[in-house]
Amino acid sequence: MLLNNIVTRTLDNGLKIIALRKKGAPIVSVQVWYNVGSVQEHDGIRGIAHLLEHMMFRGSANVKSEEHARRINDIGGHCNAFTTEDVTAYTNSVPVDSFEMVLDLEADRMDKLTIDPELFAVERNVVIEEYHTYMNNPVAKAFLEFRQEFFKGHPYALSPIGLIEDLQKVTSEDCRKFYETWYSPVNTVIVIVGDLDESYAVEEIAKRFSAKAVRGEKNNLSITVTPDVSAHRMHRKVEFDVPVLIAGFPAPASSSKDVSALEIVQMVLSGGESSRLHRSVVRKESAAVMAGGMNHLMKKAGLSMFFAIFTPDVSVARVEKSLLNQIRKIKNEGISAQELDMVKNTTLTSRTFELYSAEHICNRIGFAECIEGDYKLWVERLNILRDLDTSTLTTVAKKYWDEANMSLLHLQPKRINPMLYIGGILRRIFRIGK
Amino acid sequence: MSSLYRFPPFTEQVLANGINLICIPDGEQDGFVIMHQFPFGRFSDPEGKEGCADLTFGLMQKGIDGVDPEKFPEIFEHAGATLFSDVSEEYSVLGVRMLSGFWEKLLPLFFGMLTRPSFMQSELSRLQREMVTAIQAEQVEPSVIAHHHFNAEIAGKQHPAGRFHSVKSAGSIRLNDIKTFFSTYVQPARSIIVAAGKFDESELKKMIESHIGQWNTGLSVNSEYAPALELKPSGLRFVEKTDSTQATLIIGHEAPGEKYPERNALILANYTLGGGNFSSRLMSRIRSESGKTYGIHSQIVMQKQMGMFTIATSTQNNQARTVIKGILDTLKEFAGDGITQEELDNARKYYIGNMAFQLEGISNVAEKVLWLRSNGLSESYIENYDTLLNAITLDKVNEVIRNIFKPDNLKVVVVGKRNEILPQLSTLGTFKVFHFRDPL
Repeated sequence: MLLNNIVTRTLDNGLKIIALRKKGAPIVSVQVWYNVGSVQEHDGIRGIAHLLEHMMFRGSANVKSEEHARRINDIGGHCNAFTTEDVTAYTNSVPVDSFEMVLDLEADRMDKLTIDPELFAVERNVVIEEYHTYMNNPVAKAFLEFRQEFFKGHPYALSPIGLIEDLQKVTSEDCRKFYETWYSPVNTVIVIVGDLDESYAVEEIAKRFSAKAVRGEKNNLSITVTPDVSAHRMHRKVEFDVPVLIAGFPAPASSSKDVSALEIVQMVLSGGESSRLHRSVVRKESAAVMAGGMNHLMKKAGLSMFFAIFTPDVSVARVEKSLLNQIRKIKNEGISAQELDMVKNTTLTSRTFELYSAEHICNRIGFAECIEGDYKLWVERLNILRDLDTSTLTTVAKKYWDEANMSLLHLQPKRINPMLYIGGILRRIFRIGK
Repeated sequence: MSSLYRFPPFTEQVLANGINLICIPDGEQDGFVIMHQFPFGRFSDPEGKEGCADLTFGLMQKGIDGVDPEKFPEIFEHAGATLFSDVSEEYSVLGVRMLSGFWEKLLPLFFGMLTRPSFMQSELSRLQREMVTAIQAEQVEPSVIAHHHFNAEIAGKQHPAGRFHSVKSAGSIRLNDIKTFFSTYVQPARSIIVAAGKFDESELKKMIESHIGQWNTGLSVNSEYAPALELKPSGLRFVEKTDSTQATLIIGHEAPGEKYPERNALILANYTLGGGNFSSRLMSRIRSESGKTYGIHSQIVMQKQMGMFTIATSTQNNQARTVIKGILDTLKEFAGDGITQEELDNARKYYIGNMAFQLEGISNVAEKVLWLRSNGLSESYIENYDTLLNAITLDKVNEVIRNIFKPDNLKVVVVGKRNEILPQLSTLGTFKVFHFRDPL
């Protein structure tokens, strides 16, 4: 039903429009997704996709520096942008009567970006500050190193935040070259969700974008390099007072037919207090204080992760064993019908609450189209989920959670609070809290 | 005159025990959310047992008499529902969101958390471990360290704003403390229930009446709001954290609370200073013109009677003094000269336009009605919001700026590497120096 209400149109220059009317609040979400991310970078310009995202707010032929954000703020709306490995997306949510203004702003910066060298130098400093803010967190920093090892030899090895040595030397010309190569209608998807007529929305976009010339390259990235899946173990002593263990397995590309099944087994294992990890690792065995997991799925490859946060009195070997026991159990014994029901209900509830927000719907459609490969998957995943049987789930768990391919990151606190250490040992001896 | 916004229709009634019940039917989707707000929060934690309010709400969600504690959350999760609590300084909310088809099954359990929580020692021990772990994780976060020191400087230990959850305070809370806290504060009087989404209103009311309509009728609730903070002289703190890659800054002073009659004028003024993202003066000066930070913002954190004005940012160590000077210069100019008509118009347009987003979806509407009732306002406040803001003159905003923003009374907290930052700051005055692990 929902899919029937979505209107799509591809302009002659390749730009794709996806529009959905959502009645209710008088607002509209306008998102422009460019199919370009940090994987299009090469050595020497690591971080430029993200830096260009910042420069997109620094003025175009008819819009002054930061006028885009100011004009949207000053009508009560909000705008933002994000850069991932695969895409760069610009998000705007505004009162519905400002829809055309947003299109004018987006159309102007799509092919008439200024990239003034002086402003570039200032914005580069902003991005360097962002880099340092990120690195000021010891866990985030260690995770970047882990990821680099995990995806060694693969374009996903580096995160979109880039490398500081490259950020310090990239030029406005590098930025312009990247912009002109990739910011082309053929690499663009515009998603509109809000309380306005879909045909009107599509026409207004076509008016402003159909004359945009195709330039640069179409993103036909076909990554043939597979991640170095040999298991590795990384150990870091950090200024963070809580021991953490992260386990990572290579996961499929987001367009893979296995994704739905992997998401389900991941939820059974790590979603909420009914999850296997919480019930066994946290409650029954007291090996960790918190345990969970998530899949980081990208266009060409993914990372299926589990984590455990534990107390200093528990050995990392014990935590690892406890985590792995639960993973093995799912691979060997599968999941119950009751667990499958829970996942279905949880997914349906999330979807239902997503539908109250134009911006959330817009995000999901953009992600499905640009990362998963087809906007219809936003809806069809629910049908896939309905039809999945437990044996498919077991097969997928076995396929991706292969311990021979598992990588581990252990974060050990530089400093241990002796009272907590002793307290933990006493708790286990006397089973306080069991 | 037609209103820009129309608040969704709802019904409201006060039950015999004082609960204000508000029902907002909305059939847009198949969702249902219920929130129960109480007029107390972290500020009601007994001194030395900070964390009591959070643990009480956490423990209420860990089971009720007659249901196995392991099974209790599972019943909600198997239905795809999410139990949640939000404990802030002076309010606490217990809620659940779910598919509308489950409310008849789940709400009796939800209300059981109020009338017959099991309060098991084993569950408290688990929650304490989680809390202690979370405290340990955040106590190395530069922004958390900066906020704690700022609050300590501005409020001191005699005021609840100057007391924080700590490993020691969380560890000292006993089951009896939780039971006492629960029976003192989790009471129907002055509490508000909002139910929003798709449901049968008369059936829901019947259910609420039968499960909690008579709960603790006649009991009053002991809850007072924290007193306003008096404006004190300036104070400077440096907190040493040697592994920091940046200087983390918080600058600000005491401010009025929600009861301040010119609240909206103050909010409009702050938009221009640092609340308005790229439309604010601080963002323009420190980020857009000089690239010295990734983000900077100012805010007025308002409780009922007390409030704080803060500016928060971070920058590379060697730029700490320049950034602080830029902030101080911007603030002096703002406090001395006020804002322009154009800036006021932009701030007004932002808040009036943004109201549409605050009314999108059942959860937002439920939160908004809780805020209205907590502040003694009716829905006409939303419906006349544009008129209200448009009536605020430039003279009034600038008078408020002169009365509230006091550059001579600023408290400055800097967290970072001592040897790289502190020498730069000598011209600003003498900083009291702390290590980030020093107890507050």
